[in-house]
Amino acid sequence: MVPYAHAGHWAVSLIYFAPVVVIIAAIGITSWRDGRAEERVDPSQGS
Amino acid sequence: MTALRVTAAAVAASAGTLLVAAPAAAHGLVGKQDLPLPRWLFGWAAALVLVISFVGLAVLWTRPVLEEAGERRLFGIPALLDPLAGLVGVLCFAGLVYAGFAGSEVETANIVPTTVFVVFWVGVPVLSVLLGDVFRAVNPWRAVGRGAGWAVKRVLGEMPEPLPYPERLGHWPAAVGIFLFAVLELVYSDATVPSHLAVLMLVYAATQWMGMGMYGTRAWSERGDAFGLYFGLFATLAPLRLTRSAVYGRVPLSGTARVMPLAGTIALLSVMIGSTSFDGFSSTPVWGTIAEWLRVAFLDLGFTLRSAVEATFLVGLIGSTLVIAGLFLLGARGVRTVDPERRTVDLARTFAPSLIPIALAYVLAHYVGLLVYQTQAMGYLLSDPLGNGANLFGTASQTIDYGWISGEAIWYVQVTVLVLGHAAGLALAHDKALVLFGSGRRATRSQYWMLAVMIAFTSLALWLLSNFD
Repeated sequence: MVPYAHAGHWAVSLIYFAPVVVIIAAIGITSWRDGRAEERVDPSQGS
Repeated sequence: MTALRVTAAAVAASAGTLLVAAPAAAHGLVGKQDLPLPRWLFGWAAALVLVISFVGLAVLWTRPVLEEAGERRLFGIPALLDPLAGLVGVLCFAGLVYAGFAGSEVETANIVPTTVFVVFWVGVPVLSVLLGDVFRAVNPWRAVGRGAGWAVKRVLGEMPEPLPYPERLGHWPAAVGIFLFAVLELVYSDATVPSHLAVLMLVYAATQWMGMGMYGTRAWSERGDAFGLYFGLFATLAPLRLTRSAVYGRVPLSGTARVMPLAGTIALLSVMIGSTSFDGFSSTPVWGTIAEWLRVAFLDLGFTLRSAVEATFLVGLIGSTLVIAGLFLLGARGVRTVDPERRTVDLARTFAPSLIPIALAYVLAHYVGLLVYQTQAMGYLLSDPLGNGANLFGTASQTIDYGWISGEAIWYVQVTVLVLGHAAGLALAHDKALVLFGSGRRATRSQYWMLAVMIAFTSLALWLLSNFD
């Protein structure tokens, strides 16, 4: 396949999108922490 | 057979590149750039600015401001100015159509291509964001529609009631209109042939008058007129609002916050951003390899070389538009983390106005070089609009000065415009989230994924621009 033959062109461009990867990772971690915090809060609200 | 096909593909690829290289290069004029830092580092810095802006919004912007901002009357406009502006618009339109048919078929000698693709498509958005909806005042289709309505009323005594504008039609006619203009600009091989442009201008005008005839001039102009809406949406960003009788001052972006999204609004904005993105993407090595593969596939299906190139670019344009729409829908889906009861499509429509400054940033960043260089061509084109050797104002021998702004300055303008546009998008989305969710914390949490989308749009734009050198 022609597109794969020029993978070098694609790879160099990826550096521009590094901030997107970082922000997605940060949002993922934040969401996971928020979820854990809500789980911890819920039982105490119930008691 | 295989060897023949490979040879044909190679010839097709080379010829296809030649067919499209000239217009593609012309779209992203930047000149030679000698930057002190690698361009990807500008992209990282822009992303950092957006993250800081997001934190700033979360901490300092705790109640809706834009939707509740008022406006104040600055000064009145004489009643005669509105019909006069309309008349000027009609005369310009008629003059351009005449130049398209009667003038030279050489694209650089005839005034029509530069007026349509530079002054109209790129210049009017700049005027709109500075001065408000100036195009509405000179809109030739609207002026003729209103004039015809006035004449019919004088003759018949009263106007027949127009059909109610269908809710489901929304902004879809405008989305289709802008998409077709993008096809003309980026796909059609003879886009800059003046006589072809003149025909298409007449076809567009006829379509507008049909729409106005069916649904009324006002309803159609505000929802179905592709260019009226394209410029009108940009004008909502302006600190001024123009009406027929007065000019009002307002907080910048407050007009955008009050835009009422309809069916097709997301499609319209996705086409606006997607078409500019594709114009940039079509100059990248990545597109080069994809286009080569697609062209061969279309040639194998029996397409001629020209139609294979055009079909390839059409696929690219549609793909870019879908990618932009998909990214935005992902951002809207992220809002559901704080409100799972709402549908993604409803949230996307609610937050759609935040795409307006991004669309403007994409247009300005991508075409700023074209605007500053190619607008100068109007100096000699106005003196010799038909390209037949006339010298009406004594400026026919003027030339374009490619040295008055450097390639580096253009790059800095591009980066600044992109950061400002996306920061404005974040502010609009944040303000809307405060209206929807009340509490600052919930509103901020709803925008996490929208921030990711904004950073993705910024990174994409800077990557696309980095391919022009």
